[in-house]
Amino acid sequence: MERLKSRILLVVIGLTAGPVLAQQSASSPPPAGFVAVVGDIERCGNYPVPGDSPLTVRQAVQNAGLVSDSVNVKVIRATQNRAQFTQVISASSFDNGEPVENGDVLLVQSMSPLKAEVRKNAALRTNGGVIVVGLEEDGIRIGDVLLYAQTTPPADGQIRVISRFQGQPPIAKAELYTPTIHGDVISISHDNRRVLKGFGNMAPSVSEWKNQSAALPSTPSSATSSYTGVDSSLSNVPSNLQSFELPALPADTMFPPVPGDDTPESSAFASDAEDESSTSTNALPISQSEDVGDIARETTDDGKIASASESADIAPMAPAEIKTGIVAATRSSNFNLWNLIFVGGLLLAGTLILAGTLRPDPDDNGKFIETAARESIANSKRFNSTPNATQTPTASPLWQTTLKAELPTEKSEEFMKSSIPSAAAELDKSAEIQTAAPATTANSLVAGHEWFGGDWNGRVVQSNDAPNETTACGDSMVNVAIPEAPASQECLAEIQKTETSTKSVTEELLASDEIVNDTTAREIASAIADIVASAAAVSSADVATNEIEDQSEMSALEDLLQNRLPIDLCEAQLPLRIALFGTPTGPRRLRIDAAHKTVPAPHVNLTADKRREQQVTENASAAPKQSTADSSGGLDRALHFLQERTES
Amino acid sequence: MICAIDFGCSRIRSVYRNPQTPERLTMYSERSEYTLLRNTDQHRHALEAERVPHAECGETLVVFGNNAAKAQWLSRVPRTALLTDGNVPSDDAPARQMLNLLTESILPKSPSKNNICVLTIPGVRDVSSQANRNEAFLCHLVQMRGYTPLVVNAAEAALLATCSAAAFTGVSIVVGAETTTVCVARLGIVLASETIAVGGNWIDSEMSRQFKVQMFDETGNAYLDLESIRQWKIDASPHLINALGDRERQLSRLYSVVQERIVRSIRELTAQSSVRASLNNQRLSVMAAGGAVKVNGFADLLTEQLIQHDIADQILAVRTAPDAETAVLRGALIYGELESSGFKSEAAA
Repeated sequence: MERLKSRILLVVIGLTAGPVLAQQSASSPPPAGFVAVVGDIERCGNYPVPGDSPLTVRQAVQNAGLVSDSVNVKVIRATQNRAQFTQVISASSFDNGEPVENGDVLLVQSMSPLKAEVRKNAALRTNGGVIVVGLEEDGIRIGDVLLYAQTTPPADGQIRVISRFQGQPPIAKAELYTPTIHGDVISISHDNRRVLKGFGNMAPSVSEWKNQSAALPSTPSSATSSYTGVDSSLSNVPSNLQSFELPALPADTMFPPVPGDDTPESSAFASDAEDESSTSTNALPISQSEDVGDIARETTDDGKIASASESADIAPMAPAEIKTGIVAATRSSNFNLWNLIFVGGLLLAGTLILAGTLRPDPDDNGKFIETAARESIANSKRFNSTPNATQTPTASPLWQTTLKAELPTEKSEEFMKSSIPSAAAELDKSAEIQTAAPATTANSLVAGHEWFGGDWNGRVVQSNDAPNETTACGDSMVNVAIPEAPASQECLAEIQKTETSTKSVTEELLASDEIVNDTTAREIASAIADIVASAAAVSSADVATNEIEDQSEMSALEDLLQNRLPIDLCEAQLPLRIALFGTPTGPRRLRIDAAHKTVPAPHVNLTADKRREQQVTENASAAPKQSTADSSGGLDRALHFLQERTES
Repeated sequence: MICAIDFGCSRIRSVYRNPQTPERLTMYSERSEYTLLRNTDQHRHALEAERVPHAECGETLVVFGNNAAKAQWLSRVPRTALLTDGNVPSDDAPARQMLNLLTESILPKSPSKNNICVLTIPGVRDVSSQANRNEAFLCHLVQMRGYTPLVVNAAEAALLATCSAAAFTGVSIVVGAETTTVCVARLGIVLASETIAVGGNWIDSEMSRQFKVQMFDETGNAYLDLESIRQWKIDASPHLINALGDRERQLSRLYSVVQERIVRSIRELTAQSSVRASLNNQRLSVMAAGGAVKVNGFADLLTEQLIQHDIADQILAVRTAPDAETAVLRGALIYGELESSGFKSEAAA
């Protein structure tokens, strides 16, 4: 514990939201979760994910404060032990709309020189949530972090450093004495299903670790002065209380400055809270998402920060220091002009969009982009990929083309009215139908998601509100392309009625000798017949059925796109025994060396042995000669001896 | 009915919506390989006792599909790919018949007319006669089951499956067993694509060759033991960025070679005038799918390659698909449903 006191200063920044989010949280629904941002960032910590609108990776990182021009962000999902993807964020990059999820850890690494000093930090991911810790100095070990986080060390092999800065390998099986460095994401899982081999737990318990750490030589630290309220007798305190007695880092060093926090009231409040945290034994609680309620209850007992708990049900629950900031931010937000301007702008934009006078930029809306993409894909594939599609377009374009090419001129209308009495009324009806036709065509060509100005809306609404029956038929034709407007049986009857009458008109037109020679009139008649036939082809029941089918298809397609559908993996049923024709070739490609057809002679063979034996024999036979030589040598020596004696 | 089938060089997969429960998908996955066994009474009795489906081809017994791995212990010869080098083998008649049997077994019976089956074609898709033969053969297999075949690019299918958050805009990479497909798309429209004749099998082969991971049959023939390399990759879970040991470092180098080729392809595709005009300096998300991208550190290594090739400023994010192996199949099903809705509209018209 001495070592712990002297060498580390861990600051748990649990569930600390940025000031902007804290301001918004007062009026927004409860957060859908929390995301932890660590690494080369100005304000590391846990940030709430708004429940109403998705928070993107870029927004989360920017809320935490960029300290360099360009950063690389690793996104580690809660269910994964590695970065699912990386994203480069710079001042010039735009938001790709990738949303963060509850439990994500965003590891930010600077790719350019830092503009400001960054406090070292790391993240500890447990089954209960993510804890962001600040590392005061080097040499802090994982055991220190676990001890401070009041987390029971898991079994052997369950501590992992799942992600680090680039160039530093993750540690699959970390130990308690493994040093924690800046940017580490430590993951522990108390998985009881793991079967331990051998006896006992190889990982030291908290007490063992504490003893070991105490035995280690301690180095003096500047942070020692922060622990003036804690003495060495802490080792006698029950372990579950020890971590709560660790003092906290002053809030001004780790937590974001609150914009507009220079009001005397808030600053005084903050200073009071700081003084309280530094002088009293008010402990820094371990804040996790699941411990929010406990922390709130504990801190509410203190009268000065009781008001913080009121907003804590929405804003992130935080330690005392952080609450001070949040309270200050909440109070200051009441008088912040920018907030009012922001809310007013939102209301104005929403009103304009609802009024249909503002066409949104597709890049600003992720859902809009998705819908547009799907529509464009559907349209493009429908008209591009299928060879017949370009030759057989839908009914509406055909209809429109026919109408454009063969619309009756005023002269021909007058001629028809004068020539056939019954054609006059029908021509009026057909003219009204033609009036509705552009709207129908337009709706068929326009995707459902697309928003238009007042011109289009006005025309459609006008056709819907027309009182007479013929216009209602036009409405039914319009409704073919507008799924929101249901068609009625009256419309169907009207269509059939119109069809019948138009047939008679057409027959009269065709039967009339005066008009038979007039090709224009023939074309008119055929155009009318086509119009009515196409209109009658679509009944109201079909329209309603198509609506339901389209909606269900879209929802099913959406599930498929988002990979939400469960997959049943089945086993194929193959015939038990069959006969195939031919001879299989086998794995020829994998063969790298064919077997040798003839076995080469081994290195040690009989021939060599025979040769060796022969040599031995030769040596044996040469041995007498050698003895002869020796004898000759002896003779020489004898002669030499005799010569010396003669000379002497 | 709409179904999708992915003729991969490692596995053949099919998926469709269950008609009774449309909210669930039914998938079949069979290994696209076979094992050769000697046609002896002992081997036949062993297979029949275990009720392993098999086929007789003259003097040999053949076990194919997922059962090939089960019967591997009876043979000392490594398994043979049904789609060698990504192509339908022209000199292996039993392999073509096995492809037909597998297709029949994993495609449901067509209940009515107007059934669509979206399929992906393995190998390099170009104008060569081999590519045309591949496509014609596999389409014919699908037609024999009563479906109308629709061919989709694997990268395009992966784009549909994984890039909905990016508005179907970006670079889709599918690293398959034999080939790698790269495509650049905007709003779901493929602007340019390319298929590279290198994939995960090349990496495994090089690993096996350089570290002499071999196996020998009864007659002394030596074969590359790719299965051991694959099993090592699963067991050791190597990391491409933080490689430990010679094997991992070599694996990282081989992946670097493949990724360098991929990035070069991306650079060429995005440099095309038509692509540049369509994208209008828009930064792209890179999504990687395929079985070979599941190795740790793939996205990080690809990011490094993008930086080295000076195209990182065009990239917004690099990520691997959560369902890397089945993303192509799911995308093919999405493609089929979109096409089906188009057909319905035409029929209604």
